[in-house]
Amino acid sequence: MEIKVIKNGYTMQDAFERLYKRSKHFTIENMDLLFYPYTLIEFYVIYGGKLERLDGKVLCMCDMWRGDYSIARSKGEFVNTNAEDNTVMPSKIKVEDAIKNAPRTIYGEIQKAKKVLKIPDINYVRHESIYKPFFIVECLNDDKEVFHILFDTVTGEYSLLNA
Amino acid sequence: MIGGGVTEYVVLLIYLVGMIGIGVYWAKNSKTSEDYLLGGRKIGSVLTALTLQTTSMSGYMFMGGPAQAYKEGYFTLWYAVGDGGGAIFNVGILGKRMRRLSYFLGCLSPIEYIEKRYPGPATRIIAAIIAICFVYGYVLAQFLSAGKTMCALLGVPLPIAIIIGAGVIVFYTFAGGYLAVAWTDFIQGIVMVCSMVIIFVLAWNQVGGLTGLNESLTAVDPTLTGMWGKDNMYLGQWGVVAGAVGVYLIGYMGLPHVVIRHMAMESPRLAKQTVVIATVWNQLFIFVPYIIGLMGIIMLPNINDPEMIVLTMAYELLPGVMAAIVLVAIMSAIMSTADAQLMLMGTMLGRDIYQRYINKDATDKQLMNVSRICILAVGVLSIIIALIKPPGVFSLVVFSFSTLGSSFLPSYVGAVWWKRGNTTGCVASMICGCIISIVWEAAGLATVTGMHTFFIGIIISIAAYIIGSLIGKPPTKEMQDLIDRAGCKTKIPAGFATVNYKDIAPETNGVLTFLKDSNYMEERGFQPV
Repeated sequence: MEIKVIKNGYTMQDAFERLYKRSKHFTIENMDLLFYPYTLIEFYVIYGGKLERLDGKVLCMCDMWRGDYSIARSKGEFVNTNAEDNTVMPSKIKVEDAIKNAPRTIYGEIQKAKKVLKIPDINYVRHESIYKPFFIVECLNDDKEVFHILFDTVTGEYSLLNA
Repeated sequence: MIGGGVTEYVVLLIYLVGMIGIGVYWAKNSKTSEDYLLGGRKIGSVLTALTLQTTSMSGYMFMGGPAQAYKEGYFTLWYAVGDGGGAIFNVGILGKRMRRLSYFLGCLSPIEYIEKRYPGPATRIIAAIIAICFVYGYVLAQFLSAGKTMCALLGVPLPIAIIIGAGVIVFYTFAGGYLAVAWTDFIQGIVMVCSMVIIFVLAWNQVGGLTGLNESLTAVDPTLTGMWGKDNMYLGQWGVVAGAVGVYLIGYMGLPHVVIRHMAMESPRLAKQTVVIATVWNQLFIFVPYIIGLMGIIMLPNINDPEMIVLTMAYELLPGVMAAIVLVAIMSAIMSTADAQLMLMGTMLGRDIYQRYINKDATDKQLMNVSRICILAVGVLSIIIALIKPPGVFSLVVFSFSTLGSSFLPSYVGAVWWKRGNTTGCVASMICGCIISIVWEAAGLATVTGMHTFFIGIIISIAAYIIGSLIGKPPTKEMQDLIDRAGCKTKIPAGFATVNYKDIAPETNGVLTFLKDSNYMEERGFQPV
């Protein structure tokens, strides 16, 4: 299936190097892509304040698996790619629910930044489904025991899965 | 009849409707057979701890335990000592390792687990026959208890009481599966412990605390405060004391409906938390019924039926609604044990009989539906037998407990702790444990020899397991590697041990859930997470 993904900052080779830099006491046995679902929703916000990033065009990123929202600093770079079906995580959240709930996050951000007396005018503009690529990395420690790492191909950050 | 007022009926009705509601809710949320049979292996530590303990504790703790303390005095606290430590033994010895090994072997039922760990046609057949027969005995006993309790407390005719009490259990188990059982157990566990502690605190003040209790008991009969029982009936009999402590300390590790809780844990790493929560719950709940029984000697010296001590005290010490909640707590204790056993019956009949012998290519949906139908069928059959020819509750429970424990305990423990443990040992242990328990009970040898059926059964069963394993062929290298893997925590290289970037933590949890629920790892050649 063809999907739109956030452009990789890190290739598999980069991931290898980055992980081995951290420790020499393991070997990487397997590595594969997994695409995590998001929806990028664009709003036009009018509240008359002086916070540029929250006035005018505002992008809200919805985690379509967990239902978390955040304000996107920039739209970022996307590329279209063909992904195998079972490497794409399905969405648990409906797009219409995401569009309905996202303004709360924008309003919360505005409130955090500045007390507002007037309710901001938040207008939906458009949305698009995007995916963030991760590497699932299977490793063996020196005792040949398995553990897994989740590697963020955009930022290069990683965390242990269920070790 | 102690209760029987409108308040009791209303409180009980709210409770029963609530349990049905939980069943209906989880019916909509169980999509796969793993969801239905094992809660999708997503049961957290609090839920695991409470479902484990409430399943282990039946109505006996509200009725039999206090009555025993009333008759035998402080001696009965030996049972509580064993029971109090039972969670540490059960989860500590089996929890983490059994969760890992069952996952590696891809098992959904405790019988399938036995068969895959000890491969061979005899294993599954013998294990399934023993488990189905004796867990069924247990289900029947709990249904009867539910009916008799409602009958004694509310004055409802026994047949109607059995149909209502057992019917509700059958319904929510049938509809909601493991998750309904776990959540109802959770609520029942809270009701049970709160009721018991409230009565305990009020009664404690009435008798003047520990000093007042001991002084009063000594005045009645000094031997009641001794460790050898009333009139020193067990004086110097350390074997009896060891038996009283041991039955509940290790016995639960042999009960399939209890050990299946380990298999449903979300992660092996939750075992430690589960031990702590289960042990805290145990300390709040286990000792209290026995001490209430002791306080009953002082507060209710002329009570006709000592099994009614807790409820009688509730009606004397608490306002009407609260006393009615205690009634609900007794029903909770019975239902939380019965639902787990009924669930296990459905799992075994669906997975171990239907999928194994009748329809090997059964789809996930077919398996779930057959398990549901089996739960319904077993439930209805049990209700009919309970109505037509009810056996004695206490003897049925003791007999089923002893036989299941003797038959399975060595195989469950050996499965994760002894790599040499093999099919010959497992089969020998199950046959010897089961036969010796039946013969000992049928011939009345427990009374003649003074040796409890469970103990003679477990000794013979352990011996058979060891001898059989030493004679038989050792498990394959692959199996031994899996047992090793189940036993040790993966050592993370030093550089990674502290890595867990906050920024991707939310995705980590999401990805982990996805990987567990999907075939991604298997299809792409990874080992399971």
